[in-house]
Amino acid sequence: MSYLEIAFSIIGYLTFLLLVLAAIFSYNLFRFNKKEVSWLSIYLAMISLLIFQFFIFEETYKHDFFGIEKKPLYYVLFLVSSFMLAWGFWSMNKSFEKFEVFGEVARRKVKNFLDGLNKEEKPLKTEKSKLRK
Amino acid sequence: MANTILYLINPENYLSGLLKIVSSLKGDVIIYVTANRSYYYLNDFFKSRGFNISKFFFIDCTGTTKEEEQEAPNCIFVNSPQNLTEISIAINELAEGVKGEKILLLDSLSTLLLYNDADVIGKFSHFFINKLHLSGISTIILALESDIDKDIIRRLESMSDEVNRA
Repeated sequence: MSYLEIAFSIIGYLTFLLLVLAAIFSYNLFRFNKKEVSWLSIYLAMISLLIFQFFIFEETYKHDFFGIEKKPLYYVLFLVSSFMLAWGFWSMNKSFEKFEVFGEVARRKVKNFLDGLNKEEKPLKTEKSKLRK
Repeated sequence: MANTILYLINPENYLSGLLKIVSSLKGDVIIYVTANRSYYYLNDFFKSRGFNISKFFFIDCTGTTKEEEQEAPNCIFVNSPQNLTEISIAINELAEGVKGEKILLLDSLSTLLLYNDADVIGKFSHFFINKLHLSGISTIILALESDIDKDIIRRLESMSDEVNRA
């Protein structure tokens, strides 16, 4: 195996790994809103890309579809797009988790506030004399 | 019935105008969304003027409060006035969780406009006015009188039941 072939293999595996991560993150995104079935399409697209990477890409490599001079560009572009997909979905996951955590905190605070409010019933304003101060 | 009232306040008498508005509020719970001054400032300010703030629940979106100070029981802290998603989540939680007569006071639209695009704030206002109306919550929106010529204020006037000056 030449150095170029080894480099292509490493990039290929890395791309595959990034696509797997992107597929996991895209499925997590769907779990945040299961009512929206169309969100599942992103996950299905990622699975299709994985199949593409796993079979077609390897075939391309074997049969030298694009010619040796175009191959590095092809590999690198695919790696970069996989990286961007994984990074983008990861970031979206983080945002959604943050909103979920924020929602939890908000719910807890509202509940505590209402519990406290039910214990003591006070007027909105105190006496007028105090207000004048 | 849930009403939407837009108050245009003279910037020179902002605090006295605010006091007048707050003292006229009659509700079981007052949801105070502040982008203008921090929760701690308003807490001290209303207490010093003799208000019983036990019925106030604040959403502080000034983004100026330190993380370790964010444990106030009657306040949800949003990290920036630009974070409209978190503001919506907080309003939603309160709209659904609080029973009885509720009033939401937004202080102020002019401050939100400093941090967000006017179109975005227009859509945001339209969303929450309708959402709160459906939840039976009266809405009071404060804006500076000096912003009266802005397109968004005019659009908001059309969404409001009343427009007052303070």
